Amino acid sequence: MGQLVAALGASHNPHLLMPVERWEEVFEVLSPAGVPEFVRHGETTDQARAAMEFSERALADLRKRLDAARADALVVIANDQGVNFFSFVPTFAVYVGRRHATGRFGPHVFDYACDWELAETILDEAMDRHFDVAFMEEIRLQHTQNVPLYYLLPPGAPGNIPILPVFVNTYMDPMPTAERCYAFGQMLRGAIARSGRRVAVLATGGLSHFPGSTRIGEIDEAFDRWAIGQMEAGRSGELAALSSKALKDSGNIELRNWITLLGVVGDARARIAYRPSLWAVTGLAYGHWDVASPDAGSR
Amino acid sequence: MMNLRFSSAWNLNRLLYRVKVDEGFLPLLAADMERYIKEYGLSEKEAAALCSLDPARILDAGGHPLFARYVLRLKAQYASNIYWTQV
Repeated sequence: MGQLVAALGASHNPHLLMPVERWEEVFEVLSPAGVPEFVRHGETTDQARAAMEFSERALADLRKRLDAARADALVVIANDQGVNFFSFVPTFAVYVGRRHATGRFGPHVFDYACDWELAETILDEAMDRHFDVAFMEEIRLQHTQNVPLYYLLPPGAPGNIPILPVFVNTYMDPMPTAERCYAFGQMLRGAIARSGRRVAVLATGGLSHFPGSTRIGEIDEAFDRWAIGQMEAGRSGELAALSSKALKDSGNIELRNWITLLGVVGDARARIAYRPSLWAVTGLAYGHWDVASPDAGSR
Repeated sequence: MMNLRFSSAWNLNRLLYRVKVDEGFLPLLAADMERYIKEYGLSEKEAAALCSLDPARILDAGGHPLFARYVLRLKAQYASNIYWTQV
């Protein structure tokens, strides 16, 4: 029998792999009309640096938890941002290739072995549960995977475990409902159980932000804190019941990745560190779930 | 409401996708934009938006928010922006 040994969530904001001194430079290209004044003047370099240090501390804590879990593989639930998928856009996709997954971010080169046997187990489980999941033989890792992986499985570090990229469509309409993402996560939990592996799962992205939109810089902190409250209370069903409109209106389309993870962990309780950062134009969030609790996978 | 479909301006988005993921395409496009406007079959509105290098006009012409900003790579003042070091 396989076992879920860790469940983690982390923002994948590109700023986290850029020096804080150059965050202002990013303002110029983030939005169609430039970043609004309330963002530019709403935070100082020192506050941005504090957000960066907050993120580094939180991600270091997640790395300790991942190391302690002694996982055989890390499933990475992330969204594509028009890099791998364009003329064909799957709702859910699994990388089944036997070649390493690779990508670049500035000077950093990402190169990970992938657990293709676990991928095949997931596909078998998906078909058994009537999930018509796409699978891909080629992949280009992007910031949605690379940013958290930089901190959790540092590029080139000895002993890095294999990863398994799983994609959820969060950017191209029509997107899956929260309910469907949750059910997909439940399917993943079933696949983990039959895998014979010690499996860790990471969901990336979010929380509230509006990339590429005229609403860039807005952060729906109230929504973010409500969602975090539900996850910390083990009320996964509340998030699984969210409408697609609620996700879009609150800048939380990427919360679909986290809701997929909730399908994996069931009603296990989370601990989530949260800090909205205007200069990072995102509600930054980092969490872990108590997967050893009796409520894990109970829904 | 933000348009999150590719298909509303398929030819424009095909071109923008290449701008985002194909580093070698940028100098080709910069050198002969008219050629690629014809090759990709852009409408008058799409072509004008592309030539303006204005992400807001690109969005208005049906460009996807994930791609629109990448036209700024063709502007000299943004060419070396740190944001382009990743995808």
